[in-house]
Amino acid sequence: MSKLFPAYRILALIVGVLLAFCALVITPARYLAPDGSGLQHFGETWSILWAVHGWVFIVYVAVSFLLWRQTRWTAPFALLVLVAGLIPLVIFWVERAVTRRIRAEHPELASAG
Amino acid sequence: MPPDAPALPATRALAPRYWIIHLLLVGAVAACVLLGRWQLGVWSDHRSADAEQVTRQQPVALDDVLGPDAAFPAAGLGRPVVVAGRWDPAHTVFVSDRERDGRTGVWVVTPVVTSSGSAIPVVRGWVPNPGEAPAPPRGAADLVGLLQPAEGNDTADSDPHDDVIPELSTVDLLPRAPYDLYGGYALATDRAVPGASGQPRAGTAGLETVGPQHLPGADATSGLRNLFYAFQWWIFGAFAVFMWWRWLEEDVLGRRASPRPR
Repeated sequence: MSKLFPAYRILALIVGVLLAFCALVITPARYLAPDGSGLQHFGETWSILWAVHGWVFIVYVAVSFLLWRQTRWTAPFALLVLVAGLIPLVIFWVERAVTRRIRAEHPELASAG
Repeated sequence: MPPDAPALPATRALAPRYWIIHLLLVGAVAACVLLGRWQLGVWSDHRSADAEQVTRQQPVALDDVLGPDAAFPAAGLGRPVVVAGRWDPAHTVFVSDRERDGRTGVWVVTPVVTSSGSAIPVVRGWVPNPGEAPAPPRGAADLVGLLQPAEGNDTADSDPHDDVIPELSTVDLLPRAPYDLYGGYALATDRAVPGASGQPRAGTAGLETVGPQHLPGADATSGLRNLFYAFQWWIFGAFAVFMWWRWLEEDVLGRRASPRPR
C-alpha cells in the first residue's frame, strides 16, 4: 500500500550522494584550491548542487516526517533521521538503521517496497 | 498510550523530559530565520553591486549621453560623464533636507556652463548646513560626474529669491539661472578625468561626496540563488514548527487518532 518507505530509501540515497559530493569535493575545491585554478573553477561551477541538495532535502524531510508519523519512532530517533541529511555520510548509516527497524517493526510498510 | 485527562492535557507537553525537544525547536527556528536573513542580505548586496556597475563604466563626454536640449536617456542613469566648462559660482544653490548617514543637511550645487552655452548643475557635495560650505570654485571646471535625471516638482519653493531650493528640479533652478539647463544633474566625484593631466577640477574639497540617488534596476537574475537559499531556510523553519506541533499533538498529547498503517 504505502510507497513511503521506498520513497524514503531513494531520497536518502540522493541526499546522501549530493551531500557527500558537495561537502567533501565541491566546497573543498572551491575554497582550498589555489585561486584561479581549474579545480577552484570546478568548485565554483558545481556549488549550485548545494541548492539542489537543499530542495531534495526538503522533500526528504517531508517524507521522513510522514514515515515517522506511521512508525511512531521516538523523537530522538526521528531527529536523527531528519538531521542525517545534513551531516555528510551519516545518512548512509541511518538509512540502513531505518530499513532494519521498518522491516522488524513495521513489515506492512516494507512489504510494498 | 494512556488516555489523558481532558481538563489539563497541555501540561503534559511541559514535562521536563520534553524540554530538550522544545529547546531544539526554538534553536532550529532561530537558526533558520537568521540563516535566511543572511542569505537575503547576500542577495540584496549582489543586486546593489550589480546596479552600481553602471557607475564604474569608462566616463564619456556629457553631450554624448545627454545633449543640452535632449530628454534624459535611460542609458544615462548613473553613467559617469566628463563635465567640462566654466564654473558659475554666483549661482551656487543649496538643496535642502538631504540625508547623509542619518543626518540632515544640504547639497551644495554649482552650475557648470559647458561649451554648448547650457549649464548643468553639479552637486559638489554635502554639508550639514549652508554656512559650512566652502567658497564655490571659479574658472575652469573639469570633472567626472555621475549623471542623474532632474528631480520632480513635488515641493514648492517657499522663497524663490534665496539660494535654498527644495529640489534639484529645472523649475526651481530656472528663475536663478540666466541660461538653458540640461535635463539632469551630475554628482561630482574625485575620479581622474580621462585624457587630462593633473587633478580634476571638481570643486569637491571640504564637502562630503553624495552617492548616486537613482540607478538602473539590477538584472532580475543577479543573486537569485541566494534568494532561493533564503526561502529554503524559512521553509525549513516553518516545517520544523509543523513537525514539532504534530509530534506534540499525536505523541505527547494523544489528541489525534493514530494514523494506523494498513
